[in-house]
This record gives sequence, C-alpha cells and structure tokens, in this order.
Amino acid sequence: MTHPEELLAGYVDGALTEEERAEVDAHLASCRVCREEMELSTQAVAALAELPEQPVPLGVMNPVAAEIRRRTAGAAPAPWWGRLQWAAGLAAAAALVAVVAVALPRLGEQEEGAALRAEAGGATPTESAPGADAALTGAVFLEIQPEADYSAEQLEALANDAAQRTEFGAPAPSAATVADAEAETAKACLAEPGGLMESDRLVRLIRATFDGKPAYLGVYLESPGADRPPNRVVIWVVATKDCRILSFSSKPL
Amino acid sequence: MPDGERDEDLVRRAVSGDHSAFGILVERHERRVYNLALRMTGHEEDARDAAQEAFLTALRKLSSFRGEAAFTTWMHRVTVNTCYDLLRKRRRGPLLDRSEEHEPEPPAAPDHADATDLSIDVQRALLRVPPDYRIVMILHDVQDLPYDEVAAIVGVPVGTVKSRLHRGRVALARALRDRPERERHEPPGPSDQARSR
Repeated sequence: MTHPEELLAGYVDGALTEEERAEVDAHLASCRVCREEMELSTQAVAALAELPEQPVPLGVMNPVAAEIRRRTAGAAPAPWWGRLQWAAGLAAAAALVAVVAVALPRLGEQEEGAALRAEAGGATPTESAPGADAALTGAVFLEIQPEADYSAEQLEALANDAAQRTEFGAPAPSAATVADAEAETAKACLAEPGGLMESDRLVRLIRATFDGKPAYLGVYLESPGADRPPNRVVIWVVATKDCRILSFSSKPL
Repeated sequence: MPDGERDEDLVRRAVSGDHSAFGILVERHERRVYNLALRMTGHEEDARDAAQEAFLTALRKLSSFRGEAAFTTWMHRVTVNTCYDLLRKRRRGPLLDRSEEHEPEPPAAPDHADATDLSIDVQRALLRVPPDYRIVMILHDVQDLPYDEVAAIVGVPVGTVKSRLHRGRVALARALRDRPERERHEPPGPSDQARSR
C-alpha cells in the first residue's frame, strides 16, 4: 500500500485542500498503520507546543558585541574577547595575553573615599549611575560569604541586584567580614586572565563558592568608552586556587 | 528610527561599514537563534556556543547575503549549519545523559514543576529524533515557520519537509512514550518504509 506521506503532516496541521483531505480520509479508512501514526503525530505536535521559548542568557552575545565594537573602532579585539571565548570553552586560556590595567584605588581608603564623596557635592546614589559612588571612592571590600554557593542563575540575580543597587559602598552583609589583605589577592586573581578593560570599575568583591568551587566574584561596571557612563554590569568568577575563570555574566544597565 | 528599519536595510548599512546596524539585527534575532540552537543541541552551553558562532559567522559572511531570501531565512540557515557543525564536533549524548559533566537542571518553581518536567521530557525525546527530522519539527512546530520557509532554510524540497515532519513527529511521539519493546513489534508504518514517491 502506498501511504500519502507528504499529506499526513498537512492533515494534522489542517493545511490541506478539501480534495487532499478527502484523499487522506479515504486512505485512513483502510490503513490502520496510518491511523495510528496520525494519532502519534497529533500527540507530538501538542507536546512540541509545550516547549517554552527560553530567554537568551545574559552575556551570550557579548563576543558578538565585542566583534562589532572592534570592527567599528578598527582596533584590536577587546582583551576580554579572548577571555570570553575561554570562559565559553571555545579557546584555551593559554592563548590569552593578560594585559590588564584596572583603575582601582588601593584598598583601605574608605575614609578618604568618604571624603571624596562629600566633596563631590553629596550627590545621592540615585543621581549617579549605580555603583558610581563606590567606584569613585574605591571603598570596595572583600565580602566573605562562606555559606554562599553561587550558580549561573544566581550570578544573573547578582548582576540584576548590582544593576539595581543604588549604593555599592553600603556595608557588607552582616554575615560577612572584611579581609583587606586578601582583597588585593582577589583583585589580582580576577585580573590575571586578562579579561578586564581599563575602564571597568570594580564595585563589589566576594569570596564564596561557585558550583562548589572556592571562588572570587568581581562585580564591575563597564563603560562603552572613556569618559562615558557605565552601561553594563559584568561579573567575573575565578577560582581562588588558580585564578581560572569559572563563569561570567553581564547585564545592561 | 533605526529599530524600525527593515532587516535588509540594516544588512546594507552593516555591509557598507556601519557595523552598529548589525547589532540591531542581533537584538532582533538572538532569541530565535538561541532557541533554535537550544532545541537542536538540547544543552544550554552548546546553544550559547552555537548562537555566538552563528552571529559571528553571519557578521563575517554578511557581504555574501544577496537578499534573494529574507534575512531571517538566511540567519536561520547559518544557525542550522552551525548547529550541525557543533553536533558533529560534540558527538555527545543528549542533555540528560550528560548530567555528570554539567550543572544540574535549573530548579523549577513549584507552581510550574509539572510543566517543566513535561518540557524536559519533550526536549529529551526530541534529541532521540535524528537531526534531519528534528530540525524541521523545531522550525515548523516550535518556531511556527511555514513549510516553504523551512524548505529554504534546510535546503530541501517542500515535499521532503512535509514527509520529514511526519516521520519526525511519529518518532518523537514514540520516544516520548519510551516503549522500545513495543516499537520493535509494531508493523512497519509509512514512517518506517522507504517511499517511492
């Protein structure tokens, strides 16, 4: 028996002409196999309709954006392009050249930072870009979160939180302690793989675990260019052991 | 207003040196491209890689886009080819067979647990359908593209799309039922036989 296979999908979709439908109906009346397959096909279409459309994870298109910027500027690839590739498992970390100049004030300058903030005219956090306050002051301490184990999803939440926070210089959570000496190590570790750009500003520094691995998390504000306000929150996660990149997330401001 | 520009006009701008126009195209199409890659590969990490690579490839090859087809069709074709390349490279098992290598499934909100379980089952079953059949179902049944556009993307006649769609759906439903013994004892149906037409 010849089965009208090219018509069966259209039959389920309701896309046949009357003549075609009559042809299939006549066939189905005498073909048990096709009747059963039509039932299966209908179930499959219903099941596929249940597949939800997923949002694009944060940061996925960063390499594309970086390539667009590179082409626009006619310059060499942004240093973190290679790092992203590495993070995505597309390139070996060995191929990266770490050229990092993170414009970060030294730690332990909280008081001086507070003075700077006062001199800045007492601008409220909501008047400046999120995190700009802390970035100005440099009052970024290492938050130690021994109980926290971050996942990729929680990184996104952290990025959202960072985007929404109006005062990054706020005291660390009560459970955290300050460890200035280690903070320098953490910053150097985050910078080591070479992904940071000069204009990236650190606004939050965390020691916790990521997927069970001891990690430093650095929350940065990224600007599209010098002297331009930040337009993106970027989070890098590196292993405390060897500064290997464990994850990355970003979110537009 | 740039966002109101047609895709083809944005392509022309990008080709003539205004690369920011390509950024608008990425924003417009990233969701479809990512979801196509996600359903085709069954794994978020692979979908990220495929979506990135598809857009980077599109950016590199943009000057070869002649405008005979819609940009959407061309971009889908680039994505499909990227997914096939990635699947060839990976030659790995489906999503849930790789749990030891990767992070566990994201936790579902309690209210949506049933729906999430179902979609994971469907995704897992989808990965058991051969790629040539899987892709037409994703494009037609998940992304709602018409037969002729699917044919243009995949590069086969419309009739082939229709027959692959039917065979793929039957294979998917059987995979969902997960009843290999029964399948082995069923008489061959139209999806199991070589067609002369």
